[in-house]
Amino acid sequence: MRHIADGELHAYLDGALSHLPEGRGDEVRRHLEECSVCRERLRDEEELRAQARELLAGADLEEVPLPPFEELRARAAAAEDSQTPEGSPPRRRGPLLQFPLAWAATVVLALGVGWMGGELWRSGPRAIRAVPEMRFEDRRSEADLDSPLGVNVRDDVAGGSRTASDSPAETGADALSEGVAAELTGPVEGGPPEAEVNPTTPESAPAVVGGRGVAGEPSEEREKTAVQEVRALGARVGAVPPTPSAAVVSPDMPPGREAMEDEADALFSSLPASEETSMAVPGLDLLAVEWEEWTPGERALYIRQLLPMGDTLELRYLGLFMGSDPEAANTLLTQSRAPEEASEGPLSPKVMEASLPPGWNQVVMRWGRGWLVARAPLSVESLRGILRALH
Amino acid sequence: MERSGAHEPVLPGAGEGAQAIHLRRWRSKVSVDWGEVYRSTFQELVRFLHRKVWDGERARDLAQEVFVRALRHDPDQPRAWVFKVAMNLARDEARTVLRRKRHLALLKSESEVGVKVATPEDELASQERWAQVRRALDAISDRDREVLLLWDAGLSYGEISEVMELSPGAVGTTLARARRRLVEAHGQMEQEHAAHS
Repeated sequence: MRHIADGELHAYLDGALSHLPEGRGDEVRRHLEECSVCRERLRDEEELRAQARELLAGADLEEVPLPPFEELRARAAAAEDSQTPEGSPPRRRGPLLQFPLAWAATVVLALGVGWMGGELWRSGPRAIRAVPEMRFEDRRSEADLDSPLGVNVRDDVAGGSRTASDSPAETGADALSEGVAAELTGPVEGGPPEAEVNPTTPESAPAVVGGRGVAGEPSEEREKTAVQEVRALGARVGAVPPTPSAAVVSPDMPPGREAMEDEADALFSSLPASEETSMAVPGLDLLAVEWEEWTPGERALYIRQLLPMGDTLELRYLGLFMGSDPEAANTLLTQSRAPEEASEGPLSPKVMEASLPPGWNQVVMRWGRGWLVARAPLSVESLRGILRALH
Repeated sequence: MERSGAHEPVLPGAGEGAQAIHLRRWRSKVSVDWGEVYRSTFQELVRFLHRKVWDGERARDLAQEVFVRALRHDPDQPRAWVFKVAMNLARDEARTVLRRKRHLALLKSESEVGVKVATPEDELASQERWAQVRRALDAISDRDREVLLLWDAGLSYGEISEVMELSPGAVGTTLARARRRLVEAHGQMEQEHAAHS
């Protein structure tokens, strides 16, 4: 009988022989009784295992207090609420939700930018105007979670406008960006409390966002209202709430790659292609929207969205130019590189491909005058399926 | 620069994309006692996440986020599911942190000076040990680290195989290799440390 492999020795030490192919566990036990060489090896491996255990214990964290389970339940329930489709029964009030709150803020900006981006590309270079620069890192950790959504967003936009002063957009507080700022700050000003969302009439969107009275409402209600409004805005810019997650993220699905691919394919086949251009994939939760600026002038809009099973989809728009100076825009646009030429820039698709995590794939496609680089732990075909939903 | 033609979107046509959709038939649900799973798993999940993101507060936040998602999705294999989602969140977190670091490196001013607080010697030694373990963990591959941390979190071979997408028979081999690499990486750190001091 052959000697025992290292992995089998470790399975023995871990009490996991039952996971070896059928019958092999018994063979291992018998062999260990007979073979002194393997018994010696077993002692070595046992020592190794103990050392690894000890090392791992050395990197330990002090026990953290267990947050009340009910708090998490409430957050989960409220997150469900925030995904209730339009026209469903009135929302219950729930506790203040930190994550959904932060996400809501993200979604507003994401879709706002998506819409503006679409506008920019449709209108051509002449229409390129100032867009408030948004330093919008991961809101989940950095949002001022005690502030009402509207205030958060307004502060962001206002702060962003100030920080844009080193760009050509300095003097370009034009109609477009002001319009967006007005949309985003709408809820703070308050509006007709009962204004109804109508996703089918794009023109109504600013009123929608400004609608749904906020002042005086408890913050949790305000926040959920904002989530609903974000979803309405999403509908307006071509995203497709309600989320399909209930149907697609199967609660029974074992977290396996193949199953995930199947689910992802099903999800993306079922996503309607949006009629308007959207920069975020309709129907997928948005996790973050950030500007990435690696070197001055080389900037990407980075959008992260939630896939089934907690994986994420990364979208990077390269070669976007957000400024008011058409000359500068043209210069930058002509400087942006094709993927196969873009070898030196840290934001180039080539360099990004080299840094792909194991199991991830990347698809590069033209986006207006720039590029869209989409990355996810999915097959290239599934990724392309996703991108179809953007058009 | 003319860039037409060659890089038009390579997207499947309507015909290719219109594959039949086979949604799985959902199995009848087995009720999961999430309160119990939470009490028995939360600390391990925080430890696991901490050694992925190296930030206690963030690890705790992420662990809570994992459970919020778990409660919404109510998966059948609760422990494998939460660790799988935690692993993905932590990977994502690591990428974000890496980007921020690069960004900060660009912005970092020369005036920035690290502040060192006087610490008793034994505490220093303990911190040094801790830092070496951390460096050793960072030195091995993501896959090795993940399988080690899952094992250390008390997951069974079956659960590890679910999370890591390995066949159950391959878990022992993967673990054996990862343990060896961790111990070797740590040994190397110690040697380097001894050489410097």
